[in-house]
Amino acid sequence: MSRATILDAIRRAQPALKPLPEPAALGVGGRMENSISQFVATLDFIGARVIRGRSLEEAALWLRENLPAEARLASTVPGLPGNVDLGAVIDPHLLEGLHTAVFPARFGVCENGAVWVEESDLGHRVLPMIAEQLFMVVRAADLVADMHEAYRRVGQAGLGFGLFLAGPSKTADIEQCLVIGAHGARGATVFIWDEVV
Amino acid sequence: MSHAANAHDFLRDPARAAWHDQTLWMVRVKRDRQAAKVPDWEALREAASQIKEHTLSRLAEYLEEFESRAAANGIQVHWAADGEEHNRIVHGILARHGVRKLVKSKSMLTEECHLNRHLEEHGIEVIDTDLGERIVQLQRKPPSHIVMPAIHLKRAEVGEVFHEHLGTPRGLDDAQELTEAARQHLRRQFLTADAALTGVNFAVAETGGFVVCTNEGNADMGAHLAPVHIACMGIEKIIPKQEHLGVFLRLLARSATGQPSTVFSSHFYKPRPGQEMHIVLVDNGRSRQLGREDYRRSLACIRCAACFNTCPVYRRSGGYSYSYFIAGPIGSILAPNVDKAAHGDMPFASTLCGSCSAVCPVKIDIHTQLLKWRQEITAEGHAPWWKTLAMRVTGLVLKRPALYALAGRLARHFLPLVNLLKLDPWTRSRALPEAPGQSFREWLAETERAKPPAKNPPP
Ligand code: SF4
Repeated sequence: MSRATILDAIRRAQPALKPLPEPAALGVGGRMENSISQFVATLDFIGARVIRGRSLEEAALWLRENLPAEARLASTVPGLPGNVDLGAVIDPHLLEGLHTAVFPARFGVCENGAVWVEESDLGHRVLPMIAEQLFMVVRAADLVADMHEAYRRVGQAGLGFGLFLAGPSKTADIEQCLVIGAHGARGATVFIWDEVV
Repeated sequence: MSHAANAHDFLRDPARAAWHDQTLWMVRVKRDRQAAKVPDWEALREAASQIKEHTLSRLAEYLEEFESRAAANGIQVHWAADGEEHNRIVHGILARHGVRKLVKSKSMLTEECHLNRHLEEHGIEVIDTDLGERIVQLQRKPPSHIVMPAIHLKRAEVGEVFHEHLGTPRGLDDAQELTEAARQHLRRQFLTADAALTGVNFAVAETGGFVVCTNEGNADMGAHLAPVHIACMGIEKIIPKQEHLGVFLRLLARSATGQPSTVFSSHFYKPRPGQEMHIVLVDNGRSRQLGREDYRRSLACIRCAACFNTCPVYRRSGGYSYSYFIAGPIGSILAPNVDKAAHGDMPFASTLCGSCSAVCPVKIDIHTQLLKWRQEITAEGHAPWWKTLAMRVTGLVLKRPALYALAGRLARHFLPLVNLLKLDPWTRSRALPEAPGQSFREWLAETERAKPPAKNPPP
């Protein structure tokens, strides 16, 4: 066990205490725009599709109209039923072949188009990667401007897994050509609803 | 082989070298565009720099805090003094579970420790799952860039590799189709792997959790399917608090690829039910670097590779010209810490223009540290003899005005010969400007002589 050796070596090497800064005091945060239009523009930039609606019925309608009838769809959003019972799936490998995953996001981040998703809203951690298409639902009121505000809303106690998810998976590893759909989903749709008009 | 000799080979194909240069410059431009959209960008860099400096001054305490929180969350924490111990720990875990196939997401640390070779010697199949890394793995080559491992390859070459190893049709050179072939191939690997290994971008002392950032989703695909997840990290990846992630995540993707965020920024706190999760904390020379005051701040690096993309030397010489697995400006600071004799010429592969320091999101004084290494390496006799000799002679001449004047006169006289015979490596692709007929001192003396005496001499 090298634990003690390593910690000793570090203690001998580390310099005298340098103060921990307060980022806000340095001018960090609160400078980005918080608006639906900003969020939508960023989502567009990162290759996500945006749909805006008043109620979840509109989302249900969109899914009915745009998904093939035989598509395997798993949903954790009450009111948007799927045809795969996630509770009955014990082994996440069996989710392979899933057409669309529908799940709620806790909030969206205007500066980078990411949404925060928690394990308890997924059923399986691998859901947002193994499905071919993602359909994420976020309320218009649940937007934050930047990542600092975002982390004020991210819990920590009791959380097993959570992620910021920004659009469909992608790669530019071959000659810097952008290809959407690397190992994760090939498409991501964000449904923004409950807008106050 | 020295960096200069390797770079010379790289430059044999000027069209290709120009393409490499432009491709990386494009990434730099994308970074600039994103940085400009963030009004508090400079404040962010300052905050990131100070948070890292603070963390390095309390590294032992934060590691202990991280360890106890992670353990309380059901994660098993291991400590490795060097690469060999790291490999032994990882293999031990895998052997206990009878693992035959391991899927791995990008981890420069395992590259540093030569983990793949070690595991393969023990009969474990290792599949690198980042697309770029998979391409170079199939070629049995290391990554040439820490963020874009196959940036040096052309589409057609990737097509060759895939034709040979994945059975795609010969001559396939469409990025979309090649990526699709890799997706299908790697999906099968994810679904049949017995364990997953990931790197770590940030580990948070306060929560005992860690964050892994990818665009492809490969780290998640591996970790959430396999019954065993091992995350390997250098001890410098620690940050004190979760809220600090806000600072670093805003900087990382913008600096790396010019995206406002990576697609997946996954926060692991606990293993999923029934899963085993391990973290291996690796020193491997980092505590030594921590004690070297001049180079300590290199440990603040978040591996965004912005310094690579902006470096005029990296762009024009390629990752394989450097003797260390981390190339570019930051690699040239890290490598001599590992082995001064083997990598002593890396700090010289720089123009010291300072562009690296100007883009670095954690404000590492990269070019200053490169200069310090040069001094140290030369003083210890690791510089090539001709360079040491040249410096000695230059010092000798500069100290003696008469000798200096003579040397100047000779140089002015023989300059056309230097150009003609390409005596100086610099003159291989450019000519030295024509020398003036007289030196400054000769000119001054002549001008003074020709001047009429001043009417009112100053008192
Ligand atoms: S030294 Fe700075 S610019 Fe270079 S990879 Fe590290 S963080 Fe990025």
